[in-house]
Amino acid sequence: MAEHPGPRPGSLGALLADARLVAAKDLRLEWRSRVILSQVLPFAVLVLILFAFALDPDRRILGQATPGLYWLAVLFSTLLALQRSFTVEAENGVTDSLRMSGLDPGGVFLGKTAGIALHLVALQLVLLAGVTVFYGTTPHGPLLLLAAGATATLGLAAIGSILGVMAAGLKVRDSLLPLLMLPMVAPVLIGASQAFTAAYDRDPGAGWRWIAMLGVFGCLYTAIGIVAFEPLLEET
Amino acid sequence: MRPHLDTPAGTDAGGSTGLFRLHPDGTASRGSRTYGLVVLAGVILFLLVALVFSPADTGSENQMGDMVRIMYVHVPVAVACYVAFLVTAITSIAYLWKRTEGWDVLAVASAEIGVVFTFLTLATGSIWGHIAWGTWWEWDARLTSTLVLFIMYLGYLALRGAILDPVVRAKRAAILGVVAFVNVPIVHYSVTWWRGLHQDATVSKVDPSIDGLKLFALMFGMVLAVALYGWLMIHRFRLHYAAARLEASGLDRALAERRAEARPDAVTADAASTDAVPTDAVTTEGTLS
Amino acid sequence: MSPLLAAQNEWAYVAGGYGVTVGALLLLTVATIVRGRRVSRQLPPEERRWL
Repeated sequence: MAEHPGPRPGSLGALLADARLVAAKDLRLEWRSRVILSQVLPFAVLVLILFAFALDPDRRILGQATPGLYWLAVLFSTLLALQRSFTVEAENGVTDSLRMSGLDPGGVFLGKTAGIALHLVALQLVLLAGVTVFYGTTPHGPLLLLAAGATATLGLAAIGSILGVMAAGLKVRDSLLPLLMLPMVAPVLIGASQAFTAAYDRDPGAGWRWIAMLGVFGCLYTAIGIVAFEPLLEET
Repeated sequence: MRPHLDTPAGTDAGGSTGLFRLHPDGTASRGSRTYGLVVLAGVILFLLVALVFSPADTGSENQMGDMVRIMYVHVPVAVACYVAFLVTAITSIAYLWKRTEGWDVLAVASAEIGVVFTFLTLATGSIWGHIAWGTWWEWDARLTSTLVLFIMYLGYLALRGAILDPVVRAKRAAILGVVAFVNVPIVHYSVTWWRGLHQDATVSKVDPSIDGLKLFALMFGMVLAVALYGWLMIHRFRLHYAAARLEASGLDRALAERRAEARPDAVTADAASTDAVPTDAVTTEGTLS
Repeated sequence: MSPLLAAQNEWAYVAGGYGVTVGALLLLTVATIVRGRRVSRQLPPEERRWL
């Protein structure tokens, strides 16, 4: 049996090492193909534009509804990014090679989640600029905004990874994933929108309770994902 | 339909009259038939109590009058739907642990019944809302979380429908069953906080006093709903179990046919041929080795 | 709108609620029983472990 240098299999170190491996692979893939950059980000801005077409800009609805519209745009773009992330794998049979390479399934989950989370961060920065420019709203309460963004991102990425793998390889994946994901992340949409509203309204006190809820959601689904990825990645 | 049963051992032929008559192809058994009749009697009794014997709600400013009777269906079906999804979650965990098909069948049977009860919760809740607030829908905490619940489990059924391999399907559905149920309290709390900011008069417009026979109707309704859920579970479990057996035996039959197709060549060819099918291999093995 | 609807409307809503509930559950019951019979008819008797 070959020597296994590095962290002990099954230990936390191995988990994180595998996670870093998987995340690096995903980010490298994205760097080479630049799909998120060239398609998902423009899509996100497009959603903002569509909201403006649908809601009369003159009636100040856009300004009032900015938190909600922002998070809706994040959600729809996340779906796109997830589809992309799991298509690449299915096409290249990467899922199989991940399984067979003996990587810790929990580590694979954390790696995929981290990769998706990073894409979501880029997405949110672009969207924040977008709503500031297009809806004429100035962000306030940066700490609250940051906390909301971070916790929501964790939750969306974790749930997205779990559901993405669950729907992977199915012909109906493209319609199934949104159906599975959107009701599941309703608390994130509600919580993040409310937190952003509190920040924009300069009433941060009300917002921190939502951060706690978002944090619970994110941690809970991260924990579930680490455990659930083992049966999910199993061959039948 | 034959009036008397002469079917496999285990059936009590002596009780095959009247309402105990079991269809030979059905999923009923003596036990489930008795159970079903008890539930049916309960339903009739409940309808009498709820609609006729229990009084209308009077005596308070925000009285509901006869409208209170809608509560006697709305609350029970809501209870049953939560029980159903709890069972799905528990059996899903059991499946992931034990990996036996029976747990998966329980999970899907419970989810299907749960979806029906959730739909009824929404329908009766909407009617209640129309009575209480005059609109067919309000974004109040309970209705909204139930709506999210409904769609989550429609997704569960959709996932199951999309996967052909029974083992992959069972595994992925089990995880979804747990993931979805864990989300139920989170959805409930976030929606409640969210709508709590808008304490409309909608909350306090009706204030029924539920006591005496009215309370009995409500409680009886809840027990009956769970009992009905149980009866439906028995039959839906047997249905899905039979379907799974059919699918498995269909596969066996197809394999056997495939082997039978190959057999005529093996018989005419050399008996020591390595292409011999298993049954032939058993008899030729002795001569080969 | 007042919580008390006119007397003649009340029973229509209650009836509607009970009707939908009983109807849907009856439908589920019948569908389950019928499909159950159809499926187990194709099975050999020894597979029907509940009898």
